[in-house]
Amino acid sequence: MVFVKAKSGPPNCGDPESLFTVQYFDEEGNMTIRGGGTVAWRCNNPGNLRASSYSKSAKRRAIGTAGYGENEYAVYPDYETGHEALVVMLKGGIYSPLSLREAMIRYDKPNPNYINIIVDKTGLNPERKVKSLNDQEFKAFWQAIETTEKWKVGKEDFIEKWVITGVHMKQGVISEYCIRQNGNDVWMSKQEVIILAQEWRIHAIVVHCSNGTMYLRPEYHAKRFREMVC
Amino acid sequence: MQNGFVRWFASLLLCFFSSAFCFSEEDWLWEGDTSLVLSMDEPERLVSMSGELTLQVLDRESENPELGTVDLFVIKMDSESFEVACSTPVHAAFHSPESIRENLRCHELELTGDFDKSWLREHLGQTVTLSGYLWHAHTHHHYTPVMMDSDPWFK
Repeated sequence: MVFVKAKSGPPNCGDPESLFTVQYFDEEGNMTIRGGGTVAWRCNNPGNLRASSYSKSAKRRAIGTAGYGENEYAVYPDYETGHEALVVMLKGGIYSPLSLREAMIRYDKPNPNYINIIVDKTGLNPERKVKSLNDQEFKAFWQAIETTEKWKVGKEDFIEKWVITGVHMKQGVISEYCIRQNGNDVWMSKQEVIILAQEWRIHAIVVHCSNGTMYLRPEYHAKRFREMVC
Repeated sequence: MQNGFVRWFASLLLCFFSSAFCFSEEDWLWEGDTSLVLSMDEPERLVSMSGELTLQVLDRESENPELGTVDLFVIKMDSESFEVACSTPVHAAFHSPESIRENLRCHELELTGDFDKSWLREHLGQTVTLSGYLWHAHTHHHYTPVMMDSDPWFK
């Protein structure tokens, strides 16, 4: 499953705002909701990078941002892409000339002990420059950062986006839709289906008329409903 | 002929792996508006920023309040300083002027580094002017989109 878009969702019932969920959408429009765990896991962002011109850039391949209030994080489609954003930053022109001590002061300035944690985990000399690390040492360095930033898996829910497979018409107007849910066909009233479409649960577009009524139309390039009459 | 092919194939592999797995120092730069990126061969600019000095007490980790709190000194910038924050190129640039302005805390400036904490405490609630070097937020440990340190990024 390849995620192509992501955004914040509300926290799970009873959770504080800081435990926002992240909604991922795949190419089929199905939604996967990540809740619990840590921000790093929920956002596929092991460095806990804030949403910025850097972290959201096309080169870094973020698929959205998520967070609460002013605390916005970049969201990546998978761990590897999020990890790459961290590594590119550490290898980039602004971190690589710094010593490990200087780098960690900038990475987490309220926590002067961060460098001690990194040294404990890696055994590296804190006065060494980031760019002086060989591949193995650099790996130990980013691994120590990712561990300290905490990657804890939470709960993932998959919500399939359903497809309309048939319609019933009454006096020339669609009255019911047949919805394929997890392989089973279920008939629903027009009103029920409109509500589901508004919640992004069905492949259909809700059209609002000027007189306040609503109707559905197929997504771009999808089969017309009138060709599905049963 | 065979050797030539092997050499060509090896160089193709090398090109692929070097571009896929090695990142140069410039790879961190983003496309689009990079007007706040200061060239590495230019010295960082010392700026003076003014506004009301405040103390903000935050959870060290927003998801783990039991880990305690951290005190942050923050200047609520006046309009002139805000424009300086949005227009001064810096070495540690992670934002464009637009991405600073769209942040909800864009008018706040967190102080980092070796500013005299006791002096800062004495002047809480007052309008102050402090000099330092700007840099941009990029991890969740950073509170405001633009911060000011007593030292330049490269000492």
